Amino acid sequence: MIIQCTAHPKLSLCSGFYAFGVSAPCAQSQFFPKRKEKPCIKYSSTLLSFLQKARTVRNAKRHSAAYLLGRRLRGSIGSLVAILGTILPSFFVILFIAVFLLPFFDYPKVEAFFRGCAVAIVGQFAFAGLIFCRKLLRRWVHFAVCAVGLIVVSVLGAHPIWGLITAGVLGFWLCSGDCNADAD
Amino acid sequence: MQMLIKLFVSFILIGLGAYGGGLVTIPLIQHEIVNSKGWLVFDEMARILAIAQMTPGPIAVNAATFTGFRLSGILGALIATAAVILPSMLILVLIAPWIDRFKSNGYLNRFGRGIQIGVLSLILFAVWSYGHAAIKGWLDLLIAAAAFLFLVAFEGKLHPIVIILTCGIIGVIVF
Repeated sequence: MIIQCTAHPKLSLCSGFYAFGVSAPCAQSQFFPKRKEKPCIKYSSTLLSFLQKARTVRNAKRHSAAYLLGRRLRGSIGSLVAILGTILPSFFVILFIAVFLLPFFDYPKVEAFFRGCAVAIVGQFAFAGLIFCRKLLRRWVHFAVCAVGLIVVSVLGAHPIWGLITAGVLGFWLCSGDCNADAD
Repeated sequence: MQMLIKLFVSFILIGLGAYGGGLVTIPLIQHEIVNSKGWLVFDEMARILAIAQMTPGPIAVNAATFTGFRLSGILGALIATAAVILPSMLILVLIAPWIDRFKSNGYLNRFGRGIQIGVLSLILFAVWSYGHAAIKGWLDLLIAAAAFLFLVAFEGKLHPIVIILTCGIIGVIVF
């Protein structure tokens, strides 16, 4: 049983290591090897359907896909071990950094490096905002929903979750003409 | 023990609100960890996020591991990491059998559309709140603008790590 369970999470672990935003191709290559190995799941369409389901939930898509694949292959234990497989690589990398590199963070040059990184993240945010604006803001109603969500978190100072919920409820009432919520 | 419970609750909330991807978690993390609880100062959070962006795995999970470790050691890291992925797992367990039916439900799609626009609101809010704290002078603003323009010019084909590392190196030279 243990051997059966570890066979697939090993694959999941590999996907976790190479998951710099490319977990779907990694999963594809892990579950459908090019050599004469036996594939873990029968059809690539099954993998695709799992990835689509994981996208529906959206939070932590990689873990969601791992859960679905693990459950399909080995039931509850499979899903648990598959999730662990996707979490553990980054968990240990972060722990390593936290344990061994944290003492160096106060060095002036390291501080300057992180200051530059933090500023780059602002640019990244702005770029993400631009992409989302292009995809989502197509009618005046969308602008209105966006503005209300923004007011809830920035002017009223509410928890960001309330901003999401407010926008969701407004979308429910106002976005009747565009039910294909495909942009993400 | 009380700290661990607070960590768990905070990262459950971050996990719940993380609908829409990694960048949305940043305003949530900033609100929970820096503004609301005061567990970290902004500069510490900015370092955590930079590291989280440059290492494999979702930002929220990496940030949870780092923050948990920073506040309560390995146990804190374990609890924060588990808490941040728990909501999505629970949602998936609950709705997985009915996902296909949900997809064709007009009401849910409308709600989903609103949530997506809400995600955009949070990203725009993050540009202001995170940028307000991170940009301390004209030089910072110039680097941020250059990073943005590079990403636009390459239409997102340039991996964010390249931009972050480059800006980090520029930071070492100019700050």
